[in-house]
Amino acid sequence: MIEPTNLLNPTTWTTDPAYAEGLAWVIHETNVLNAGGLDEWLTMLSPALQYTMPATVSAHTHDMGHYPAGGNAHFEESYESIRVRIARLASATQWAEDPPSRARRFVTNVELLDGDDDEVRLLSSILLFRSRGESPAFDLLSAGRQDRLVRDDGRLLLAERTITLDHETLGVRNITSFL
Amino acid sequence: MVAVRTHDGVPLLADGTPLTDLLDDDERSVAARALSDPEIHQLELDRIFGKCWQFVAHESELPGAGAYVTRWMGDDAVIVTRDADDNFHVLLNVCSHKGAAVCKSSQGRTMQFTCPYHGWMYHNTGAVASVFAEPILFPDDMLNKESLGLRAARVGVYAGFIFATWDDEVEPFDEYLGEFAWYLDLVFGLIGGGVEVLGPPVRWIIETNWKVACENLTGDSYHVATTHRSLFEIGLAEAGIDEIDKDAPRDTSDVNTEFNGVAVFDPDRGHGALCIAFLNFGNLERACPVFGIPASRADEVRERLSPVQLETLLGAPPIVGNVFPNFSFISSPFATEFDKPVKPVICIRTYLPRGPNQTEILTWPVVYRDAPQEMKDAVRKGTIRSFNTTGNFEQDDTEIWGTIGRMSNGRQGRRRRINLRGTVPVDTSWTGPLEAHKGPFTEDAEWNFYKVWRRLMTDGATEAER
Repeated sequence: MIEPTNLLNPTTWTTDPAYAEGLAWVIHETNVLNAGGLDEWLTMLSPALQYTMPATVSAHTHDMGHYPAGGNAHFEESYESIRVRIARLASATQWAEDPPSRARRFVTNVELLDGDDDEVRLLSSILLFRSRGESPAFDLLSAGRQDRLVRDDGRLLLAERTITLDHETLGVRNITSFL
Repeated sequence: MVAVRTHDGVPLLADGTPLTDLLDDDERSVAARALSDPEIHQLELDRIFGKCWQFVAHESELPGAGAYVTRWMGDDAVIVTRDADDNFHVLLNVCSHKGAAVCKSSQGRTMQFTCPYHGWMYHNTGAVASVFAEPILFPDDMLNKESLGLRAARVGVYAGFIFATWDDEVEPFDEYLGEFAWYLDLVFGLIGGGVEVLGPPVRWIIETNWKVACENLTGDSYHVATTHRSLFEIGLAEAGIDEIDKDAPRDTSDVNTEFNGVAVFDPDRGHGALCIAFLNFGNLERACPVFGIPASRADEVRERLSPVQLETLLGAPPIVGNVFPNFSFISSPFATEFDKPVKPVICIRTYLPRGPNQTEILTWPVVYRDAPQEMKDAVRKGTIRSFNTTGNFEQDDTEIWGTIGRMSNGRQGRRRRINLRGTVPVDTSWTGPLEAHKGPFTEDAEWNFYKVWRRLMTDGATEAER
């Protein structure tokens, strides 16, 4: 779990070169995913990737706390399990994305967090829009993200992503898109 | 009860259709309007969800006295609590005063609930603890506080799974499960120490009738090869299976290598289970990890299971089923990564009737409490990647079921029939309990699900059963 540590110093990170690097990476990643470029997206992921989207629950304010790790989740992925999902979506006999949905991610509020020199840690917000077929109905999923990018041979790769959903009960038929 | 006209004791829908006409015993068909009609949905909320045992929580979600979660039975909100004596209570989440929600949190810990409207307080047993300003507004013991507790449902428990019913007349829960527990034990009863669920539940709402999902889990092995074909196409089905069982000594001399699956069901209560027989293990030690337990506990499994259960376990996976009306379980070992061993996939779920065309799914992975952490992690990953909003299996199920919802809503669509004609003869050689039909597929358990549904919907008005 990545903890934001520099939220009391809101301006110094804007001039850190890692911020421009991280922001460019996120914008490119978002556009790759929005264009359906899953194979290219895979090349942006570290082989040691941990990608999680825990289930959320509403509790009284005085009971609130971080939900313990190791609980239920929507996503609990490795690089290899994501590779399987991408292969499944490319097969001719998957039905959930045939015809393909129209999915668009809106990523915003990107902020650089404290981190070591060999990594770039980012906070961001994401809104995932999806519509399928002819129906006027559409899905909107809102979440916050914490990313840890690592340097590998001059490139940045996603090593860790924790997605915190803004929903307890989701009004979507399924989730076939990566956030 | 929703008021309903009857003719010769048979309830009628508003357009005059007798409820018994929704099923045709000669054709083995069900009127599609049963999946879309708001009037039928309202009747179900009384006749099915007002009577039957329904799953609300697992005891592992209630760690310690005062722990609670809020859940649903039909369209009623309930608070599930553990009291100081380790008893469970399932309480209607409606203040006895003016009907406000007593608890708005999905989980927490308290020995007393306070209604935020006028401050009435309830013990976590449901009994009234205090009434604000009682001496002023309700002097001289005017209130009969004993009758003003939160409405409590009857509680029944199996393997820590807490069920509840509003009906004081239905049989106790262990009798309701009856011989079906033999099949549940294959998933949840392999070693001592009990099971626990990984919470909180993953929850999402799909656009279809609850019966579409529950009937599928009751008996539909027929859909696997088509709905989930992509997983076979990409080679995931073969992934890691050889590692498990290659060259392993056979465990029992009478392992039936011809076993092609079986569907079983309780003709009276509607429960159904499938042994789909996609995986066939000859050796229990090798098989243990895909059931979420270490190989070192294999002898304990041999002590706890009967010889027939053990033979079934080795030849059965995947094992799935449904406790009527809406509690399902899945044990379906499967790979989630290429070139890695098969992972255990074990979950339970409940399907809430949110509307005639809306179902809320709640799902939890299930692990054995005494299993080592790495085994629990394997169950967690295997299950989360296979069955939930993103599940490699479940994505395609919910996509297809969503179309059933839309198609059975149209003027012509709702006049069609759901056909459950597929049948194979009863297998009289089956040595496990309940009526069995041998695989690979049949539709007898699903037809039975609807026959039990009809009986409950018509107060047993028809005895026309084939």
